[in-house]
Amino acid sequence: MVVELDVRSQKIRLEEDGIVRAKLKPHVDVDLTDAEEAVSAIASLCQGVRRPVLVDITEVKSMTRECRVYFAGPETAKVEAAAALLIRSPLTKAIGNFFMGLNKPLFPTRLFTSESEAIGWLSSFLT
Amino acid sequence: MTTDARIEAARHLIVRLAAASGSACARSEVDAVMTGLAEIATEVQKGKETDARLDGLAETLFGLATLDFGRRAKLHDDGSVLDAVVACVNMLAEELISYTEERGRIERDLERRVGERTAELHAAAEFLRNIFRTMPGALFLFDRTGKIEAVNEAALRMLDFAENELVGAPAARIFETNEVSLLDDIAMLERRSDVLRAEKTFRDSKGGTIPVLVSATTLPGRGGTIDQAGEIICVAQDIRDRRRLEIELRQAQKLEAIGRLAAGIAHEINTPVQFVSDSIQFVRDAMDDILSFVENYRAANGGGDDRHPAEPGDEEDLAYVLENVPSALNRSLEGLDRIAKIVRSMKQFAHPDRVEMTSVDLNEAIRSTATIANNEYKYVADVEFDFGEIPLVRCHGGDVNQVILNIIVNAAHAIEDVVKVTESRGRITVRTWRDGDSVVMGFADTGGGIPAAIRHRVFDPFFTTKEVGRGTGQGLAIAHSVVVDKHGGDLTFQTELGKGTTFFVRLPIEGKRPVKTTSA
Repeated sequence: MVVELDVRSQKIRLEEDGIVRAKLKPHVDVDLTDAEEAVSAIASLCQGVRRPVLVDITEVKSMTRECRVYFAGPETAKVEAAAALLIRSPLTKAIGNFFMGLNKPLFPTRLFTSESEAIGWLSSFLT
Repeated sequence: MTTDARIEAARHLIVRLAAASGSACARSEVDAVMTGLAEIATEVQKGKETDARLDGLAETLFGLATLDFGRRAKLHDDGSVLDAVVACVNMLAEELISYTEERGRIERDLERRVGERTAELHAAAEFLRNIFRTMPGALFLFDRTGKIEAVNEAALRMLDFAENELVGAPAARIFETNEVSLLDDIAMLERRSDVLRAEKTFRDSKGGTIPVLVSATTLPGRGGTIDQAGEIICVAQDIRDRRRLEIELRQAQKLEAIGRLAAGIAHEINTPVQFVSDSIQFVRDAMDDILSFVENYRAANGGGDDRHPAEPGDEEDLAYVLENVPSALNRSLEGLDRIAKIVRSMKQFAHPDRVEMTSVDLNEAIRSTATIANNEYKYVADVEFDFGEIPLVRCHGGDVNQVILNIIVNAAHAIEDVVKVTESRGRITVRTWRDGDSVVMGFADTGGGIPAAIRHRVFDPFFTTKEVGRGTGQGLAIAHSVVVDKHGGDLTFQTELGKGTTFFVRLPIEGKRPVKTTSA
């Protein structure tokens, strides 16, 4: 059964393949509160199991530094086994690169422009 | 360069600079980031003339370049590369704020810790100063040239100097002549951690001498390297009281020895007293006979009676008396001489030692001490002296007498054990000879020898194989201490089971060498 949660900045869904999909809403400026809400939502969906997460940031407008730090930090690492960031525009690519280069997530993270490739990579983290 | 080209170049630069600023805090890298930002801003400024959208971006970049991280460029939300650059610049500004705050926090924390450490160092220095100042032992700090760098209050009290009279003065000011060699001895220490200990003599402000036990070592160089030797630190302990106690103890030991030998000495004195007494008695009786003869003679010649000048037999009695009185008197003199010799030996043995060494005739010392010990060996052994021609030896005569006595008494006891079995008298042979700058005394006995299992323990304090009441195990320990520690000599022995033992006492003719050191 697919379960989906809708928080302010994104929609989060746990698919039957065991991979979490997080789709950030268009033109949202994501801040720390949004990050905490999203991670909490993922945790409630996964119920103690660390799962790979596909994060679609193709339509995000901006992310605050505190938000990026939280997404890369230990609270997120408790619930995410790996993260694939789906990007498309130069803007989202820049955000993704900053996230990877400066915030240095505590779990495996990669940028993808293809969702299928991202899912393929995330599948290797399913237990 | 077109606007797009400038934007693309700016994007590459910003990403590279952002990575540099985020991964390291080196000042040079931050400067490089700022320089790079200024260059980008200049490039973007040029593009403003043809593209109005670059206006806000240029201002933000100039802000970053001048450390004003509060400005943000406006996103146009059109999916363009320019928006990506703007996002990068804005995120970079956020990172720089975070970095600046973190750096400020680290600097404040560093300043606080430096302040704390400085206070701790001040406290530690004060603590050390207090120890230096108040410690009861006299403490001196010399530089490598032998100049006094610092002294504590105990040192000033000991030597009765003012601080400014010592600090900066050469070591010779406080050391007795020829004893400054301590500093040379320290220079020869193999390891910096070695501690040199030596008895030295200080001279106080009034010229008085103070015997001290000095412990000295070198401090590491101020540079902190092992090879670079620093100052010499020296703690001196006034040992005048200890010296006095040592003398008192030695005196007590001598008196104890006299006490142990008292019965024998009393017997030695009693024998001549007996025959002196008998001889005097004989002389007194003879004198009565002579007086009686004289009175008879006077009466016969001046009294006018017809009595014969002498009774029958008087002539024979007179002849006997005249023949034996001189020998009785000689025996008395001989006996008194023996008593005087014993008393003189006891006086010599028991006389308190002087602090300084004196020149001693060791042959005479042996003969005199053997007299005191006569009763210990005379029933079991004969003593033979084979004295060589030896010079006077500078030593503590009383201590050396004690050594001689202890060895002779031990020899007598060893022979006594053998005599109990063989019932034949033994022999103690005492030889003296010169060997280079030393004199050696050899004491050979015909006792049973020392078993191999206990040979290494014979000089240990309180080690004895004798029954209770016959020895305390102190004799050879004291002898070793006196010969080796106090005189810088040697005390050795050769032994063979069933044949006997010979102890060799070697003493330097000129006394103990001026410097004797041990390292810890």
